[in-house]
Amino acid sequence: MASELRVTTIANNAGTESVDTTYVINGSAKAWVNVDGTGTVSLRDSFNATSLTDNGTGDYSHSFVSSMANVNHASSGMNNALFAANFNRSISLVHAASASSVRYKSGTADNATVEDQESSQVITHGDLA
Amino acid sequence: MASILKVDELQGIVSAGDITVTSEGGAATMQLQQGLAKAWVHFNSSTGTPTAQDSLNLSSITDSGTGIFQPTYSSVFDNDDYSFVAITGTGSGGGWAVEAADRTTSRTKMYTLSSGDVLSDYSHNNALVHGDLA
Repeated sequence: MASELRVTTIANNAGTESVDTTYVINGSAKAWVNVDGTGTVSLRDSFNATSLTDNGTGDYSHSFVSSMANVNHASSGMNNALFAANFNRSISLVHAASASSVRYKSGTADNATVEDQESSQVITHGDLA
Repeated sequence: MASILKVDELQGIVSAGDITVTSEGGAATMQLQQGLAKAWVHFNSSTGTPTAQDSLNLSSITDSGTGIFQPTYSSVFDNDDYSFVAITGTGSGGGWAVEAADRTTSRTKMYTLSSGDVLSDYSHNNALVHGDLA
């Protein structure tokens, strides 16, 4: 049976550490993704994300399962090589955002050429609807 | 009226690792555990030995050379598909990019770079990891 607990503060049993539940709810990431951007794009792992779309070379977007309250969410990300360093692939930018999705581009750092990435990662904080 | 819950551990009833919280707008619910950052660190590598200024779930930072570091996690991840996002800088400008590669469930190898993609040490390195813990 589901149960619900309504409190304003969560503390450890000793009372030496506590946090307002506002920080727990507002401070939690509302979505995160690890994207394989090569070939047929796919989500390696994710939370509250669906419908990953390949918009072109190095250009991806995904939707949120539960939408954000507005477009003002904080989405940040970076690109990684999975196994070996490739220092030219370190830029990612949020290209467009809405309450229900975020679109981001990935490219080389030295000449800003957009290219597909082995691993693009985006984390979204903000308010859910 | 304010209320305080004093506990040392939270667990779901049906599944220990599944606690639901209601969204800010009240229209959705989300799993608390999935949204929590599982590790974060702010460390200084400009003085030789990389030193964590503050951290969560970090056991050590290995210095593998100029601009090359391996944060190791106290509690390991369930898989290596976690989301790792980091930035670097001097605190007053400088710094360019972070590259992360060669990841495992217990550590991530990261590279801090200056403009021109030169491996460099910086005073302010911040990493944030979301994913599933084992």
